[in-house]
Amino acid sequence: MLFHSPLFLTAFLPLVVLLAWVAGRRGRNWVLLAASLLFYAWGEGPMVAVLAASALVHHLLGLLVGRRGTLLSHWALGVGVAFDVGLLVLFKYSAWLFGETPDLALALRSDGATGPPIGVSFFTFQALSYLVDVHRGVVEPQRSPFKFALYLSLFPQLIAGPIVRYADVATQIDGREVKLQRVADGFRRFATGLGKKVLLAGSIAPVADQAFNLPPGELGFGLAWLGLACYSLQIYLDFSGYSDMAIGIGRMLGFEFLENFLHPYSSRSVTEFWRRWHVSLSSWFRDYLYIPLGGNRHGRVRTGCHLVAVFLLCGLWHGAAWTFVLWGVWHGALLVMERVGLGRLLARLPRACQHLWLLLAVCLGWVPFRCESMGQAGSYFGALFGFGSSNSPWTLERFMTPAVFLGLLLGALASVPWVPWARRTLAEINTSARRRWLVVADLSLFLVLALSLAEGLGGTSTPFIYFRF
Amino acid sequence: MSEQIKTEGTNRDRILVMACLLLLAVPGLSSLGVDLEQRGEELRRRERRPVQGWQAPAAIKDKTGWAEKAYSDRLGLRTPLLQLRSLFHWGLLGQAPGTEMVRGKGGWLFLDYGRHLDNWRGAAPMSDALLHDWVKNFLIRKDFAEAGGSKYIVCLLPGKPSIYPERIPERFARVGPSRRDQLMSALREAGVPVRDLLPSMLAGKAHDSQEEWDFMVHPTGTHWSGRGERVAEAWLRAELDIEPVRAPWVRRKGQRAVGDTWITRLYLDGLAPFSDLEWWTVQKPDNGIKLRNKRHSRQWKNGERRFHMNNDSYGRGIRDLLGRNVWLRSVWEHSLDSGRMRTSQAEVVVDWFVERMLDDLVPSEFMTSTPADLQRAFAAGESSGWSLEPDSPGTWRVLGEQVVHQDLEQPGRIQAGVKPATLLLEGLPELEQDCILELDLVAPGFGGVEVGVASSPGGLKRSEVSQCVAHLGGRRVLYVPILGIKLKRGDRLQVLLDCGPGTYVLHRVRLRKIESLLGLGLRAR
Repeated sequence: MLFHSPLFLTAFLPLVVLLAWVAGRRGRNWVLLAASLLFYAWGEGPMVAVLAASALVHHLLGLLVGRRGTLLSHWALGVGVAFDVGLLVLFKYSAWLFGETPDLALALRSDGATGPPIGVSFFTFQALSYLVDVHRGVVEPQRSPFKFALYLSLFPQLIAGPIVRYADVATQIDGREVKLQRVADGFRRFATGLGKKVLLAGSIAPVADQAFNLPPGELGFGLAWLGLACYSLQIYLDFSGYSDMAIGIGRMLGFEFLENFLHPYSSRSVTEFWRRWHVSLSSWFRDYLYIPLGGNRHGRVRTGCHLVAVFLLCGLWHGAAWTFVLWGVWHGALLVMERVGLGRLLARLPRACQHLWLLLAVCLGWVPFRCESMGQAGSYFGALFGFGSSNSPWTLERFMTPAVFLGLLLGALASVPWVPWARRTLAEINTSARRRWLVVADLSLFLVLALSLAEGLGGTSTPFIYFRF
Repeated sequence: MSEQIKTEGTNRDRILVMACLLLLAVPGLSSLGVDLEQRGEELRRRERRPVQGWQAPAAIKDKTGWAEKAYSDRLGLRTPLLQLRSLFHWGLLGQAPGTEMVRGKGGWLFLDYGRHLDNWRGAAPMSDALLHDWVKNFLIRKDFAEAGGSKYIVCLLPGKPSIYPERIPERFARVGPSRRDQLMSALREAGVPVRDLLPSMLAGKAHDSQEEWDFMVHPTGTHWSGRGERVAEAWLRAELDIEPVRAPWVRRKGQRAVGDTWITRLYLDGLAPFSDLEWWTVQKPDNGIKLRNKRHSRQWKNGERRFHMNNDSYGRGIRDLLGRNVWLRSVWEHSLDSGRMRTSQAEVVVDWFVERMLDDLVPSEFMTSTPADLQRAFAAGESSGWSLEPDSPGTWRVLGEQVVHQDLEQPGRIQAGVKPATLLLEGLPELEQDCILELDLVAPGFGGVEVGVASSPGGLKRSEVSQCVAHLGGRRVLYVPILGIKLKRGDRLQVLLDCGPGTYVLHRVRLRKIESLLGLGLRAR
């Protein structure tokens, strides 16, 4: 079930929200757990058993890990790590590593599907972070298996993040308040995300698909850049839109998830970009891999190695393919370069140049990320740098419809932090005028919600990009 | 609920929450009373309700996508919501509300299914190999028709973009020959008699009237208008040297004209220009010939000329005017009906296809495969519209001993008269996928084989049977792909042997599962 599907919007969401409200403090968690398991089973069928088994295993291991200072605690953590890595290898990397999917994975996937279960990377990382945090003493282990299962399977963020840490929601699971203002904010945030996904990303996605699906010999310079621009915006609008929706639904239900995107394209360096892009993943890698490896405490060379290794794994987290490895290494290398001197050089340049550098570096990185193979990525890079088709019939004019132009324009606008600026400006004007503007904003969001629902009914929207990770 | 929700918040918050909940919940609640037939078709047929096959847990996942579609197609307030969407696309963005439609100049609509417009403008020409396959296929059909004593012509009909290129948006500027141009040139070079209707259609544009919204095609539809059909009819009569039927044409309202538009399907009523006036033939022309053919009639009028042609939706009205002895076959079946050709001895076989067919058809879908082609491909495991199922190579299910037929005079022998002989194969396994039927037999003469599914006791379940063209005579092994037909327990395969009167000697009948190859989405129709 997708967040923008009519079934979710008009049946699942209002029903779950209303039920959670009327269920009372104790019943609320049960409603959410049942809804979350149904949500997952709806899309993944029998694989919900894997999610439930993972929850059970991690709950039990969490109790053992909680006996800090004992050998059992260390062993339990080791078992948990092995379990999670094994789960990922089994479903996600075995075919890539060993050339074929193991019989166990095929048997578990009795529905005949071959890809990894949706969201396996997300809920596995959540479970792993829970065990490590318990081991470190950051949080106490959750005694109730059902509450832990709710944490792991909470449907707003189950299949595409943000990767929520147990420490951030532990108190909310035990007891939370649903406030009208926060519910209203939740609807506002949800409508914003839905509009970003359905109306903006949906309008430019066909151009990106067309550019990346053309045979190598037919892609020209203009379309290659247009396709790359469209994909760069699409993946941001798509993924940040999903995060907005997850945060919005969370607020409707009384949860407060941390922000996952902080206008990353407005960064001025790749280092800053990774503080703003998919924050829950980058901070996960920072806290559970980079710092334990030694971080920047062992000199420049070791720091550089750590960075590249972490980003290589970050690339692999997105998928089992050499293209993702290249994407990860690319970002790791850029971060190393900024650390060893490029960063200081950039800081002396005008801000526009810094933004340009960031956009160029990140967008070029999306090429291997989007391509199906290294060969295709090579051809695409060739087209970007003028070695593509010189008389391609696929011209810019062919694709630059008003809808695409508007999608690019509004998508770019959605990528810059103008909302805080608007809030500050509104705060300075008189009360009645501010109210009028706020009403206009609410009406606009209501219209966006209606249009997005209608677009979903029209059947032209696409799945979320991050579902496949 | 009120005690659980802290009511700190402004009226604005309260109104917003209520409005959003209403917007989201009301369509779902009101969907219970929606009448599906209110609106008719959209760009696709609406999904059925998934009611069967939920037994196994693994099957649930298969059904959920279906259930979601069915739910969406029955959602309350669907019409106003889709009208809002159309207003947004058409009014604000200036485009058609659908990825398979393109808004042309002057409010025209062009169907872009299979990326037809890019194919038309020459941006995605056919490869030499594909072109060669097409030519080879038409040559087979030509030889087949001529072997049966018929003249053969190919009419690759011009579609809307070829007739009205000036109405297409500038971004679809032509960069090369269309697929139709490519294939016509190649067919001419190969000696296949191909005819061109386009000059006549372009000449017919001289009588267009913008004020009366009268054109050679439906501006908001896909097909030729009645006036376009009239031009095509006159052209075809000249090609076939047929006396014209003096049936007058009038322009009036009619259901067919309303049907050939995308306006209602796209919820553009009131937004895009549209006329429901259409040219119609008067149903009783002055020569007294009753119009309309019986598609599968085997009763031919003696003394009148006989034609075979496809039942393409382009020029549907023409065939009624050609005469009583026109045998029509579905444009999607493609196969030349050998049995019919033998018994009717058509004077001319007309392959009548609109150019749009070249977008989503591949030659192997055309199903004009000789037994030798199929046998060779089968032995080599090549693609010939199907491939061997990877998990069960070489596993055949022998059905020969289960053959029953009332005319079976002795085991393995079938005596047939003028009518085709029928084999009923019973005791079949349940099959959820395509399969291939092997028939090892001696046939009395030239003809073909049709295979359909008969459900017991309900009679023939589907008329879209699989066919195999056969040049028989002597013992042959025929391979008949049975595609898109699911066999359930109790079903029977009905094999129609149409190779002339005489004795069939049946040596072997075997069934084997195969994996069909999708040809650019054609089967998805």
